Amino acid sequence: MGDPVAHDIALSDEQLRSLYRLMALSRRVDRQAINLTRQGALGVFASSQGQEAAQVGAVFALEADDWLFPTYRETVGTFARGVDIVELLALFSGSWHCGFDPYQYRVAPLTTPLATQALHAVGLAMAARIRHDPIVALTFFGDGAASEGDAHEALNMAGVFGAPVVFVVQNNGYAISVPYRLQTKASSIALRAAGVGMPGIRVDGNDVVSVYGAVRTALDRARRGDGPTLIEAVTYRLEAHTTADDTTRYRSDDEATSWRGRDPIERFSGSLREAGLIDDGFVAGVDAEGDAITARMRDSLFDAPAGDPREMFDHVYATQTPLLEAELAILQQELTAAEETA
Amino acid sequence: MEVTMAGALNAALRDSMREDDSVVVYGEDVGKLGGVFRVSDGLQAEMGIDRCFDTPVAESGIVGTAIGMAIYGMRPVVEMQFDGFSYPALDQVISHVAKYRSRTRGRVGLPLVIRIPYGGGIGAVEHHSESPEAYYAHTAGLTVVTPGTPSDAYALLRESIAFDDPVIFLEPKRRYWLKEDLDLPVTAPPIGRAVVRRAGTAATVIAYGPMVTTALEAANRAADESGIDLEVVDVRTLSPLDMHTLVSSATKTGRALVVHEAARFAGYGAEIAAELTERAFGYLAAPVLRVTGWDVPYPSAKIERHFLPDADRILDAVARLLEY
Amino acid sequence: MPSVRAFLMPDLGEGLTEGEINRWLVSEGDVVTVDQPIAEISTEKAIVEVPTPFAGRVATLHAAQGASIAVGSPLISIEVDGAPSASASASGNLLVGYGTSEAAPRSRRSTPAPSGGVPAPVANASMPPASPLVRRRALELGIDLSTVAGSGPGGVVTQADLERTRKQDGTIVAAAAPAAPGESVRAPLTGVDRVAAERLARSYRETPAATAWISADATRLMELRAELPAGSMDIWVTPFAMIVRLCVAALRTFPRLNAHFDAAANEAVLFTPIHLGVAVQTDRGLVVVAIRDAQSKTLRGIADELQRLATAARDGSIKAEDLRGSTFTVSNFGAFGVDGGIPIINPPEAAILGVGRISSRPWVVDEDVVPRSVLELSLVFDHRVADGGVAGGFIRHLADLIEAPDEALTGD
Repeated sequence: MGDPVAHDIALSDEQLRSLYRLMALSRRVDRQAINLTRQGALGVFASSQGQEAAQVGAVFALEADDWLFPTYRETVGTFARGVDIVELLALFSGSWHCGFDPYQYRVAPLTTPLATQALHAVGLAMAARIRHDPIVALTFFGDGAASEGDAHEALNMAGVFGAPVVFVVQNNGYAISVPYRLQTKASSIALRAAGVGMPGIRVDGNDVVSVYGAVRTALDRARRGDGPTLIEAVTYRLEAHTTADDTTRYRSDDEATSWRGRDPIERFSGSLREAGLIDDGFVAGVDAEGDAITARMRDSLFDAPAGDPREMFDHVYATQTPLLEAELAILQQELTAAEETA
Repeated sequence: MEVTMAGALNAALRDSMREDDSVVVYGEDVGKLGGVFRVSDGLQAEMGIDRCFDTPVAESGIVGTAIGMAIYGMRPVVEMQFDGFSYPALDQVISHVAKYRSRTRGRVGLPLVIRIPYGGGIGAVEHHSESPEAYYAHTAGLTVVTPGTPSDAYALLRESIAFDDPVIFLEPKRRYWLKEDLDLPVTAPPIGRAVVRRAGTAATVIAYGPMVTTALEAANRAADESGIDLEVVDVRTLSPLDMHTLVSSATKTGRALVVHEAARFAGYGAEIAAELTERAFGYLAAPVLRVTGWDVPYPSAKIERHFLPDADRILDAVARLLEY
Repeated sequence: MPSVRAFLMPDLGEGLTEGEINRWLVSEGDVVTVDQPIAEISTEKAIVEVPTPFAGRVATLHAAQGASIAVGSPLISIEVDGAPSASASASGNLLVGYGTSEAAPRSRRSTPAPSGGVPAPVANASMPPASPLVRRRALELGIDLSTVAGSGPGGVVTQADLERTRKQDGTIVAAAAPAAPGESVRAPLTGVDRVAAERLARSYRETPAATAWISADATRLMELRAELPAGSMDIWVTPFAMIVRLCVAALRTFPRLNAHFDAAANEAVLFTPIHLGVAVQTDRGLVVVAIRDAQSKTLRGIADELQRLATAARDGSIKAEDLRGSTFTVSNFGAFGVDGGIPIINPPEAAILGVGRISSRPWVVDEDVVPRSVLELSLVFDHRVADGGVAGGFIRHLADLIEAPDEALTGD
């Protein structure tokens, strides 16, 4: 297992304040998204409340040209990376499966089939290595996804090819309702690293500085050609799996309450205040920013129109096929007929 | 010069890699060994280990990493060693390869090729003789190509590698040793076009992949033995399907059948039969027939010849067509 | 200026159709802020706090605590500041939150078939485009398809195209008749005759009919008739009525002839009841009246019904249902005074019985030649439904019944 001392990488005051700001804004965004789901503006939403340190700390360490391969759980991480929140939420609002341009942000679409995107990250990293580009791919997956075959194949292939990729496994204790102890007999997911010939680090996922340090170390390692790293960030999913889930069926309120007592944002803001790096004024400024972002979310997403159904034919192939042209013509007539009878 | 289909494929890979350094070839045993059918023979030696390399046994991993490479702007050409071993990668193919362009509103296309040796007739053990083309053809977003001749193998693979969308390239493994007199490089009609291999008048025999040779054999016998003049059409691209060529042929002859090794029920032939019936209804003298393998798991080597359609089974169906 | 906005019940769990109001968290009149929880809703999956998307004063709570509320129906109305948005309560939460409830009823959207996808007619096709059904019909009608203009998709010849051609051909043939003006009179077929003509022509054309005939000794039948108790009712019990009654009895033994043939389905339809058709000559033409459920009728019943129907047919008061539904028909040639004939099957029936006149003719009885009351019976049958064995068997049996009718008519 990794060396705990190496995690403390120096962060400037400005960086520390940025970390706080990103985590605080992420919490606001996450809360607003849940409200919007309860108001029917989003069909469903996967909350990352409680996991802000794990996601923000990790993406904060990325360079501009690095790539991120997120899952549906990483709204916070992708928001912190800079993806526009309204574009990001298109998946959940049902307007399009990916609402942002991956090349604009160097962020892959939020992926749902578990662990599958880890292989994409490995492939991209392999390509970067072939091209001698000093970039790294970072991918997240969870304790549940770690059981998938693709997780193993991704780790193994990354090891074999020395791919510049960092795997951040957020172990938040649950895969929907199935607890960690039923997911694997191994005491830690980081132990798998030994099985595939790479370093494995286990960190406190709710300590943003620790997470940052571990990920930064791993990114540097990969960038200089020393290969991939597996990082297990131990955290907790405060909300349900998605807004359609009922946690009372599989875990106790006490457990969640005890983890709320270890809220990563409160913990971090507390230490920043103590160090005199933030004050009420700064926090109020961040709150105001949060108000503006959430108001924009509400305005853009509540009652948003459905979009043009004909678009489903537009991007299937680079060049339209005769079959799709014919089918689009039929849909067009259906739409025209519907307008006429409306 | 006589070139086998395997040789033509090898030449296509080599020529594509020489012309475009974003083309990388990988899979299990394709590097050092040159592939179990020698289709990638000599590539690693010439191009280096960064351009042609071996992977762990991880089919989903092979396709998943190809996706990542394609996102980054490379043109990966990966191999599934046998048809029956392409299945572990189906999730990556169906959930991602097929959907990526649409999912990203056209911003991210995946110019990758997945080569799969398919079909039976080589006396193999279980899982090495599958015909999975229907799964791929049915998946929106995929382009499915299958050559039936060495010249097409060369030309279609070159074009597939240069294609901007992902291609499932199905290679009829029992025809790897089929020879053709070729002066490479050759070109051929493009992806998306079917070709009339043998012009005729009595009935249209529609075939693809390994059955093109069988269909031509049946046509020769029909002409010699019974004076029946059959037209043989090679589909070449299963998706998108060139219905124009198929309909022209069927309306000309008034009788059509489709032949494939894959099982009949819900097989690819049903798509052609339905489309022909809809578009050529008024010109058909007989229903569109399908000549196929049976609806059983592919059998063991000693009895596989009773599973596979042969010229006799095709000619039986032709006789039925001519009864109308 | 304030306006009221309705917040519609969203889908709280990926496709649920309704939820129950566990507890209201606000009351009418309360001031609420954006995203403030206003109700606890319980669904099949969970209890969820629902926040309001609007800030303002609570105007209406649209259901009571404990009530069920359907996805898409108003949950709470809030008086908000500012002009009402264009969407107001009309669209509501129309994304995934719409749930699986029924959409508002609208008239059926009918989409015309798109152009394209069907090829233009092929110039060098080996035959003109037509479905197998149309080609068969053209063959039957003797129409050369290549002379027919096709109005179907892609120039396909349709059944309507054929019918149009057939009618035109008919007119052309008539005009070529070799008669100078004044040398002929036209007698168009109208009404009953025209309908009958079409049916007969079709029957003649389409049915592979064969005939079996027999002579029967009706002497005993005539004796029985003479023995009937006197009474005004019995004058209807004609020999023909008696033969009809015996025919019903014979059909019960040979039910295969009590049938129709369904050419489209290639099936014989065998009937349980015997609705006996009788051809009746009227001023306006030949009609077939139907004696319904003849199998349950006595001789007198059949005779009465036959009389009633024939009278009604001749005076024009007959109802449509009495002219329909026969399963087997009998035609009385005897009424014209002829020995017999070969009738045309009444389509879509499987058989028809022709009955000739009863006349005195030489007959062999115990090796002597004696005069007997003899009649000819002819059965014309659809060979798709019955073969010679059935047909011959039936008519033989009927002849037997006629020659020895006592038992069959006992109790009648």
